[in-house]
Amino acid sequence: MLAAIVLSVIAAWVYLIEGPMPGSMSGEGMAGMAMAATTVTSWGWKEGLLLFLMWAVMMVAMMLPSAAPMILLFSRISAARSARGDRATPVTFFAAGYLSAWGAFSAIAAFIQWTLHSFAVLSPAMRTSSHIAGAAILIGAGIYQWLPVKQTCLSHCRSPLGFLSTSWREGRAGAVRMGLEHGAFCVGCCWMLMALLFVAGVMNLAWVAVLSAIVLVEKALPGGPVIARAAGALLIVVGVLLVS
Amino acid sequence: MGTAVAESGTRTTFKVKAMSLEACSCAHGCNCQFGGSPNEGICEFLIGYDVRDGKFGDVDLNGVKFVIAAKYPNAIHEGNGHVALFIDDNATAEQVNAIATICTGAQGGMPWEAIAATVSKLEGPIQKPIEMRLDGSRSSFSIADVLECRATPLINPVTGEENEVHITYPKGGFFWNDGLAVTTDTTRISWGDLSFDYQQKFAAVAEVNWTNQA
Repeated sequence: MLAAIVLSVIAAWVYLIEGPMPGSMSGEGMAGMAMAATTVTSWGWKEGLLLFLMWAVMMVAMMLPSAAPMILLFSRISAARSARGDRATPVTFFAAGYLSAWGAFSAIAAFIQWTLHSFAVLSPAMRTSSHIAGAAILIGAGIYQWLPVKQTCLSHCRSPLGFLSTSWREGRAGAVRMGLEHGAFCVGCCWMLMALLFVAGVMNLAWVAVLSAIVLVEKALPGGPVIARAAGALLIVVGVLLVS
Repeated sequence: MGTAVAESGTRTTFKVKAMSLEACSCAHGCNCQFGGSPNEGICEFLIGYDVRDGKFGDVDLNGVKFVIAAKYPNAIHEGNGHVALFIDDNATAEQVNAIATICTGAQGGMPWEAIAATVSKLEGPIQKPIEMRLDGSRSSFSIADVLECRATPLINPVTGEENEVHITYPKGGFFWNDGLAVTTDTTRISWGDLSFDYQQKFAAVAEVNWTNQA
């Protein structure tokens, strides 16, 4: 199972680096986009779909590593059941539920980006053009790191054992539902961090990597909740510096 | 499964109510229940259980005492746990089989099925005489020459009086729903690789309820 997770994450990263992106005619990904940065083209439904795909793949690349402990624990429970001849639910159903939650988030993010683009608020490099808006998102994301709702979601995400043993549901539908529920907590935990991508440039891969690392650290390492707050404080400082 | 055992599908159903005293290597507020990762890196614990009402199929478990000792290199959910199961030597062979089946998750039922998925080395069931008295903040259990866990109340650092502190999960916790938080004079074991000795760490006295029925 670990191999499957690692391969999925690598595939997602390869897509982000090499795959087709909206706004880039030649389909060269990010490098191509940066070169095409001077021409603003309007987006249709095709670009909208590509945009959704890009967000969805990006969420796989960013969130799957930190969801690994939960998915692995689920798969160990299923493996033990299979081994003793009991009814086991394949972990793919749980993972599908989990990724669906992020799929829903991706649809919303893509729609927002598509809308912003049509209002030409975003530059072709998909960055928020306005400093004020950028600073507001930074400060907002920083404050969110400190809110009880964030910490509640985070502590939920950090306790795979607690989640699986209190929210266990049998069967495939049950596994999908558990995955969705866990995913919803993850979205609640990280949606503001993902909104930062609008500031840095949605396909700024360096930022995608940095944010993935923050998510992984706050979710999987001891001291995560403290690191989450520290990252929040840093974001607020950067946001304030940006407008002052 | 024996013929006298109640079956639900292929499973033997069980329903157990027990008192427990758990004591671990963490500071107050077992991090596996709150933040996920143990604050000393490793996670070591003893939990004593005294069944107050329980059936496994038609095996009566009332009065059975047992102790789980464990050592995890990281957070519990990250696995590689070394666990030993000690059952009081007054328990019958059927009772021993029932407790071992429940604790290894072999018939399903949370939290054991999830915990079992984190165990890589399991010892037992080992039958030993267990001394156990689970009642409030001075609960204790011990197995001569092997392990001992002795709870003591939390003391208010300002007034010096006993603090009664409860940890409650209104929506249901993964070990229990309401635990009396205490500390310990000693939480120690000397059993091969399982070897530790903690004082003044997190401990809780709580009622637990387990079942593998929907």
